[in-house]
Amino acid sequence: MGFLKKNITILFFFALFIVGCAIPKLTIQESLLKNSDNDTLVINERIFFVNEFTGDSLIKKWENRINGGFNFNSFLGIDSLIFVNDLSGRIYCFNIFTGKLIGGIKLKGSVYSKPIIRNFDIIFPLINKGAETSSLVFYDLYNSKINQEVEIKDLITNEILLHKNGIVSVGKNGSIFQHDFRGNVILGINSNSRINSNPVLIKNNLFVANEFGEILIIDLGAKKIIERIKISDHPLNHLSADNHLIFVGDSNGELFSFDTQKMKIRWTFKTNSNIIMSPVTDEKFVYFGNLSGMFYALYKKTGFVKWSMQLGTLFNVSPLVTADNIFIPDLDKRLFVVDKYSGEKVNEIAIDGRLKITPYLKSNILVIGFDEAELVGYEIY
Amino acid sequence: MKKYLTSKTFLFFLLLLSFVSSTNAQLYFFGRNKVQYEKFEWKILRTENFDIYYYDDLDEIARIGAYHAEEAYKKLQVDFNNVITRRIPLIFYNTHLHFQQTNVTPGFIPEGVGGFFEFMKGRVVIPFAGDLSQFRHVIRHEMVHVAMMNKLFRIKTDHRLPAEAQPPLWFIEGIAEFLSTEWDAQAEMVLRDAVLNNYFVGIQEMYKIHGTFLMYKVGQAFLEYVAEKYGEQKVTQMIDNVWMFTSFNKVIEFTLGKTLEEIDKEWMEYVKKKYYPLLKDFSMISAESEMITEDGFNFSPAFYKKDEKEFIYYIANRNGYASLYRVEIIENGKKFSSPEIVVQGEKTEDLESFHLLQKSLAISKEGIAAFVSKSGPTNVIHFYSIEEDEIISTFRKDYLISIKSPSFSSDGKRLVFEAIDNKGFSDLFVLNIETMNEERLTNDYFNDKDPIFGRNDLEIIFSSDRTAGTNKGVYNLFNFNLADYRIGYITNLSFNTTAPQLNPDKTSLIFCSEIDGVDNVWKLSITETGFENIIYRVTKFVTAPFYPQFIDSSRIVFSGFEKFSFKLYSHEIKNYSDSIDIKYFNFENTEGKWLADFLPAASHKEEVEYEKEFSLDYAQSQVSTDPVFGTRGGAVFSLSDMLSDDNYLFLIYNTAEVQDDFLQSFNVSVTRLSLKERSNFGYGIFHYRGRRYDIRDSDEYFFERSFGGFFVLNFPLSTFARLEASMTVSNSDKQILTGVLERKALLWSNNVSYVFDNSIWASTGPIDGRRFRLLLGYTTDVKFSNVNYYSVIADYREYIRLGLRSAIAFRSSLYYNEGKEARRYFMGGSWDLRGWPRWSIRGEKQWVSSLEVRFPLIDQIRIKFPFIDLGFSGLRGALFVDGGGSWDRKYTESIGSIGGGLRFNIFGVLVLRYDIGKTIQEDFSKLQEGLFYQFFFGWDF
Repeated sequence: MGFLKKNITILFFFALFIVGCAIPKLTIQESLLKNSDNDTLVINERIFFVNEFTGDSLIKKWENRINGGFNFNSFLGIDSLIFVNDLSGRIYCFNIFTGKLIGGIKLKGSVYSKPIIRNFDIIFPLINKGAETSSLVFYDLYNSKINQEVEIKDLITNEILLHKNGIVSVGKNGSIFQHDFRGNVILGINSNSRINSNPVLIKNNLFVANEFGEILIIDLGAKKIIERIKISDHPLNHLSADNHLIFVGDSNGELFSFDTQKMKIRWTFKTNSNIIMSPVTDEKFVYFGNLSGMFYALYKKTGFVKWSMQLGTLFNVSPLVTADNIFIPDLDKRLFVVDKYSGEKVNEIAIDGRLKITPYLKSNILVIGFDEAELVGYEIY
Repeated sequence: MKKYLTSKTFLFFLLLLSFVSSTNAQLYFFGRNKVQYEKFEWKILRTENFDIYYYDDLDEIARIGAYHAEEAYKKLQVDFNNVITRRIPLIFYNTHLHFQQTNVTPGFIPEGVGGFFEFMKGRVVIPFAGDLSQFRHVIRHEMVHVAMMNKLFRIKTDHRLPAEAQPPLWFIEGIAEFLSTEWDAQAEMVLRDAVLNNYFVGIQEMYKIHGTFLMYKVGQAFLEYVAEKYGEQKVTQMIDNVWMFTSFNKVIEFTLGKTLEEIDKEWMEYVKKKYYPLLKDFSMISAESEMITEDGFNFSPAFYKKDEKEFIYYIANRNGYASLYRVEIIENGKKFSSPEIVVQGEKTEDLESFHLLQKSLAISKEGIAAFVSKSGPTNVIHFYSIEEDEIISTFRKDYLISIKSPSFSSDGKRLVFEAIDNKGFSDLFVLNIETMNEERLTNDYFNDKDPIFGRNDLEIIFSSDRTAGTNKGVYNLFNFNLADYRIGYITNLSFNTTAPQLNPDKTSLIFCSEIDGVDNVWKLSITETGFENIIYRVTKFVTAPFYPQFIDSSRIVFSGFEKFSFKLYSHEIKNYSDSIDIKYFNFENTEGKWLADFLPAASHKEEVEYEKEFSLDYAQSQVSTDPVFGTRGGAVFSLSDMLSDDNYLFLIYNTAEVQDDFLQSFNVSVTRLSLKERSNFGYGIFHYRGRRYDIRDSDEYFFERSFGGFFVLNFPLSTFARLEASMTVSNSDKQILTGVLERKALLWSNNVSYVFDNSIWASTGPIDGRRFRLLLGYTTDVKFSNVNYYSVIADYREYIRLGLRSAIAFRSSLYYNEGKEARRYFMGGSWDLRGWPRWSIRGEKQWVSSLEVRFPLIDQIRIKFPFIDLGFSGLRGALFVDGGGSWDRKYTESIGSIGGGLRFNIFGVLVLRYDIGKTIQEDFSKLQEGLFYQFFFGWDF
């Protein structure tokens, strides 16, 4: 009996340990996925601008952890839910108000891109471990299972986009794919250049930037590259779009505003260091930082400087712009809050790790992610 | 230059523990000593990102180093797109001599190591050698290691991959050089030599040059090529992509978009196109000069003529020990005699080491050779009389730590030299040889070097980086007027210019300059009005000559770099008259002095005295199981302070065989080891309990519980010799048969030893020098009088060189215990009496002697299969005869063995041994029937 008691005790603690380490399968109730205005639910955009007034002080509300690291991208949010991908092949879903883990998807590989939700599917590219291929995964949130896993012969490290006809993905080796919602390939082009840049969609055209300093324009209808315009002698980084304007920085510290209607550069602005992030725009301005810790607010239309300042250390990831403030994550373990009109720093919060994801705001809850796979939810006041 | 250090501390402690835990330790070690001559008073300068440890008067250098460190930190943050979130410890030493005394690494630091980064505590350790630009380079180099390792760890952690795997060493060092320095003359020289002499390797064959200086430069060259052809961002992208593949070759292929074969092919073509055309206008040194020495590394030539005989004296390492050599010039300079050793170096304390790659020898017309060696804590200048064939005097000053470049005045009464003092400044001094008093000429942080007496004995000509203006910081030639202490420019070139020498009639000045991308010899004329502003080429070599000296007005001798070695050459001076062979310069914009970059005072966070902060070095646990002893497990932890001067080792394991025994079967020991000062000491306590098998006793297991404490002391007399002492008090309760045969004792053991070791090693064991140990010990049971014996161990080993790779090795050892319950020694097997069963011969007294011839057998075997190449190299042979005897009370018989064997070193950590022969029995009167075959591992004695 003593033997049994001892071993049951050991087994009990072992089971507790295992249970504690496991993550529940990601299942979302139907009600949460139904959009009352539209039968088709689509959550896709990278939300860097939220037109709400916020305070500048933060108080910690909750914290939680994921498994792998972040990839300098952004969260995906719907109502009370927030989705985040990590580099160890997982997708997590948390309650934004409580920080409680709703569930997760666990695969072998790395997920670089923010996922997309369409109806009951969450769609994301998984880079397969040890191979130069990716899988485009269609996961059924309601039934908690993978419906489709489509192999892509490239490494999808750039953000995927949702087009009316399907999912557009751009690989590191320069391949451009479009898959329909059943996973069938409807477009496959090789651009013959390396692409480390999040693309943008404007109407039916896909805009992609490559290491040769070129902007490639792919007509998704015609299924071909229709233009290849060299704007820089240096590799271009992540794009952002504002109506017909595209903004992109290069590794030499120059920011370009490219007019997609006139197919030419509208203005350029020189800084002193690599601009990696997707610049963020609001009604009037474009905001961005560089790897020397400089942060800028320029007039979108002209490129003139509204304000600029030496603020931090390494600005890698896009800030979150609100109606009055900018929340700027610094790799050097700091979150800055800056008045977006005056450029004045109104708050600086020390964080326990390197910030690597654009903060997400919902109902005065600001979520940030940093080193050691930590997530923290703050209430803004 | 850089070193990565894997932790050897654990092995060191295990060895120490095994020495301490047994009073008559038979498995002792010889080895040289790391002597802490100095008692450093450490301070810490805390900056934004660094904790900078420095000592004594190095504060100015510390602030200069702090500036360069912060500058590098900011740059590398952007290069790697990563922030290091911990403070970085940076430890500065003054000169390489002090650097060699560091305890941050337990191992010895060779001369060629310019700094290192170790990853137990993330420390960067750098010596300041008098040259600010080199200091900046080394700081930046080591910072690249810090930044890269941090980034790699981050990437692997983010992807949840094992963090241990690293890129190959050539890449680690290559990127450190690529990001820390420009492509310079030294790099160019090494690459040219490798390509033009056909030993250059591509990426796929980097293993052939693994760990060499060439590997650093080839790695750097490859990354320079990648940056040029593919873009600079591709270099750091290789780090960003490291998570994708387990093979770094695949990472390179993916990043550059080509196979390694294609990349290698393109790169080889690139370097050949770059360097082969040089042979159109430039020549190999050996094609244009007479080779004086063939073997080894030969440096610092000096010419001496007596009567009609002409000699070249020089410093060389031809056999593992650097010494002072000479050759005679015969047949009108067409031939040279075989080298002979004039002064044997590196075997005795006063000539502890020579500095091969520096100018360290001068000879006066009167036949006095002044040469530099390390002796104790500092360098010294020995004055050797060629006539009397002995060292007649030695100059030493405690505050002059490193000395280089001695040069005599024309009357032989004074000597000018360069030296680094305790502030780290490299300055010029003049020594009055009769009075042995020195006078300081310069006193600043400019690096003043290669001084000689000039047109008269009131002038010193030297090279310095004090150049101001457009060529700020470049080495140029200056003169120092001893009458008024003024310094003036001789040259103002935009290329480093060093090693000035006057011709015999003082009408021209030759020197080395990097005008062609590598050093070559140039000259300028001296007229009545002074030095001309035009220089003319003297040599046109593809690789570099160093420290040219005149033999006569038409011939020079120098150390030339070719085929990756330094040989001495004699060269007839030619005149070159093409436009590229003549350079003009002027002295515009040379007023004033440039200032070193210091960290502004506002950037200091604080400057404090050093106080020990302990942190974990490593923690390791292990569980083992075997059919005899069952399952046991344990752990070892080590803590030390930031400088590793103070170390704590904790050992805990459990040997319980049944559950009820668990609590009582803990074995623990706690040891403190202090290495800060010259006397190293350690003490600790222990408790051991469990079944043991002591091979010194009978073939029985017995149970023993012992607990107590110990103290050890180690005092190095020099690098080669030391005194050791230890004392152990141990309460021992031994049960051979429980309740029947038991022995209790309160043991008190003491021993003292004298150890000497100046041997050098080949791949399987020592090959030159000697080593010996004399131990006297006494062990007694102070409570029960059950044990009471004294011990003597005398072990002498000598190695006599037969050739570069062969030697005769001799050993003679006596192990003697006498008294009550004296422990027995053991022998037999591959390590002593070959052919006899391993450790089967036991006795309280033993002697063993061996005579062995060691020689190379097969240098390389390679078998190429269609799919794979198999090969090995360095198989060595041995012929031996052993003799020995073992007894307790009465001597029984002498035994021995005779035979031959093979030795093979695997990866530098293990030597496999295979011996065949016959044992000799019955007082050497009978040989065994047949042969014995014995396979084992272990270094040669």
